[in-house]
Amino acid sequence: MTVLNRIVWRLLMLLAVVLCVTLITFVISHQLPGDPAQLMAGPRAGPDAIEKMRAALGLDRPLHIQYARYLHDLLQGDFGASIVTQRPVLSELAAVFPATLELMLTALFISVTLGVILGVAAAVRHGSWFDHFIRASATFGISVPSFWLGLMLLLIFYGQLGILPGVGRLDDALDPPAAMTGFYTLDAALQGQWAVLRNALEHLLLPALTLALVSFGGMLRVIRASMIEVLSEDYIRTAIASGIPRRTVIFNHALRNALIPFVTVLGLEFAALLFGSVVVETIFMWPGAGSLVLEAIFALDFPMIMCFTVIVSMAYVIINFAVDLLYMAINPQIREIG
Amino acid sequence: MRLLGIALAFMLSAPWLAACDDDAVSQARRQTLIIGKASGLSTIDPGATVMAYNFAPMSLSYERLLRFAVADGSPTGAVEGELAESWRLDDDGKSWLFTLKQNHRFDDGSLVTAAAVRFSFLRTLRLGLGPAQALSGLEDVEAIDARTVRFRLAAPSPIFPLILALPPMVVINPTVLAHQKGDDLARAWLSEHTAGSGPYRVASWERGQRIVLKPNPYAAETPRYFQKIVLKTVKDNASRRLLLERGDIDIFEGVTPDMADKVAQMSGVALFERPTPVIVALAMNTTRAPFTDIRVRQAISLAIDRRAIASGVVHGHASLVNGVLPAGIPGHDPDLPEVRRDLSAARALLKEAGIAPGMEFTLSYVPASATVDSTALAIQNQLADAGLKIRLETLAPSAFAKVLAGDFDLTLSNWSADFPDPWPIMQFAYHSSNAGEGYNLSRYANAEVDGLLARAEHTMDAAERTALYEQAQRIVMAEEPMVNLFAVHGLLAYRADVRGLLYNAWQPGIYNVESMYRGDDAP
Repeated sequence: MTVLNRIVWRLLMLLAVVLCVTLITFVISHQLPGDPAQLMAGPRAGPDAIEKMRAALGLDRPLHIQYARYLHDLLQGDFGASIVTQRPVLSELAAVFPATLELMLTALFISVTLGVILGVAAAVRHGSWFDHFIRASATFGISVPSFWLGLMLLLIFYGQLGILPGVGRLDDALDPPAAMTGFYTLDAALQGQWAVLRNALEHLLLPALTLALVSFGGMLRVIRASMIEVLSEDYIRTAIASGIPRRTVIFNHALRNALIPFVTVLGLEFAALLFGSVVVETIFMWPGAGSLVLEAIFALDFPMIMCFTVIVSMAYVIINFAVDLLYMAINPQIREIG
Repeated sequence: MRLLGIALAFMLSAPWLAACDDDAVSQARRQTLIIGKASGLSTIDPGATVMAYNFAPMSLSYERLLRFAVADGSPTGAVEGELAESWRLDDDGKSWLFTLKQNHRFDDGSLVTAAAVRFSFLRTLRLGLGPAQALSGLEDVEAIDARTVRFRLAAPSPIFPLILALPPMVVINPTVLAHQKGDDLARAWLSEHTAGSGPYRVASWERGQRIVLKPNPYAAETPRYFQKIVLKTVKDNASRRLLLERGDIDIFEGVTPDMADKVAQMSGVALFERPTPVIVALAMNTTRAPFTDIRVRQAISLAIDRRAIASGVVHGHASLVNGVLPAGIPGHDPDLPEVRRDLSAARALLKEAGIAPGMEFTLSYVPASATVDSTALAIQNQLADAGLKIRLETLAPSAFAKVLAGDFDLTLSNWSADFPDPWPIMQFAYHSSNAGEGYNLSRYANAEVDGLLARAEHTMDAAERTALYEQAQRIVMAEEPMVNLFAVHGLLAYRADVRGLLYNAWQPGIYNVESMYRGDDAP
């Protein structure tokens, strides 16, 4: 299969996945018990008001008509309006997405740093007590549920020690910095609001650490395994034997080659954090996309649920696609064998 | 790469070096009142909600014509003017005339006028949602001049001034129509914004997270101390308690009976506890066999040990209810006998009604709290003693619609009155016109009761009116469409350095923040 064929095939797959996801989510969300029109009208609303609400939301039409209409709008980039706020769901999601992205990127930075450094260190000391300890830590990270870890960190560092803030992005007494990027840390730094920056960083630490600790294990294991394999290659032994400093060999020659399988894991971890953030955002009351979608589920806000699901699914497919392309770019073997 | 490292190091170290801002942050915290709420708000459009958890921002951002007078945590039954300078019943006996105070201004600086009052009430009626139900007798609102407004009712209504003191009966700035979409009367906009003349206004709302209010610069009554109010949603009880303990929230709403004693012992925390008219009841579907049979309903009532539930489940933070109307409401009779558990009488009644031992029924309820779950379990156990098998069916709030539609055997309901009058409870819980979605959950229908309630609703003489409600109460008690289990106590915990809080247990979630202050900082 040529590279072009591969790209076209992946794009077709993207369309098929999005179509399936919309169909499944649409059917499931509309089968949930409850009546959004009744919810929106509120208690003690008259039957006329509820019927009017149902018609306004388009819920009085047959399900297949509702779905066809949804797809028609989706093709034009219109994800619909929230049942709760009546505002376009895409802009609602876009408004909270920087909070999620800030958390995800910080978590990814911590987990990559931990995963690479500890993975390399464990591989270099392969078989030592240090290696065993690091492997056990990785297994713990992979096994522990994020909600438990989050609660424990919260109880220890906020509840018992009182050295870090508990929930939210910022202390309630502080006003957020004017939105430039949407990242509180970056915006506060750009505007020289140091007290806000410090507070935002403190708030970021525990949720980011929770996400990072449950995701670094997978990366660490891949890096470690890959490094052990590369370090046993003839060219590495030759390089060491020829007198090149060990540190240079490890970081300039071995690590570069060991990073190739890591690219795949990184892509998947990035996508997984999109879903993982729902639980962690809820525990730390982080006002991001995860919290928003959870509220939408409780309120039976179908358009919001659909929008989040479709976007996350698309992100998954696109990230995998990007990883494939990157893999082809950095590994000529794949390009040739295809 | 090296530059990036230096930038990162600077970014991480600068805030810790800049400790000089700490005093400003600390002062900002002192002048911020943070209220920890147990549930997120759905809308703050006064024309669209009757749910108490939505009322806090409305009560701080808008003004009503009248407000309830409160003493010692409970309403006195009297009203006092908020926007109204004076009011009187017109000569026709069914219209009310109000004169507005001068110089009350909306948050855009414009004056509150009779035209704005007219706009607000007609808007509520046109929307036809929950608050409109309380205004069902209102025929028209007439702005006689800039400061005089007449409410014309279809029939005399002694409770109309009390209705006008309800939280949704606020005056909205008519300029909100600039935000109208289609014919929604600015409902979408007002669901997240405010346009009132109260001491504060909504500055921002992160849905499901927090609402921030800041002073209204044109308010007639400017805040005494707090410059910022944060209504913070913290759904988990344990988290809310932790935040209170650490001083990250000032007021803790939704203290549950099981944690009240522990919260009261926390350092730097005070706890209010007051009786409320909120009744937790077991409603039986009177339109579904065998609950159509009075004997079955009476048997269930006799099989339930109310004392055991009040002490075991609610840990004593509740009062027993000996009748339909709770204490504090005219018509409440403290001499009515308490319904005591009598299992043999219950079994005999069930046998007489042809109910075989082991017959299964379903108790459908929304597990809104651990107390509700425990109450359901207690009912299940107690009815098992009488030979009835109860299956518990927990419902998502959105699925409660099936109960409203009448598809249930037994359900748990919460009953409350916003003011000391029999009307809210008797009308909504027992009038046949409110069956189902009107929140007469047991779908009780009795023509004689309907007639008595209709007469009482329009009787201006207080004694005659109370007698009519007492008569209706006796019929309802004999027919027992609902088993009143207990009246909950209002529990509110707050940081002890918050001063001047006037707690009204009948309207939890509404605060006099404009006159509150912190510690010894009183200006």
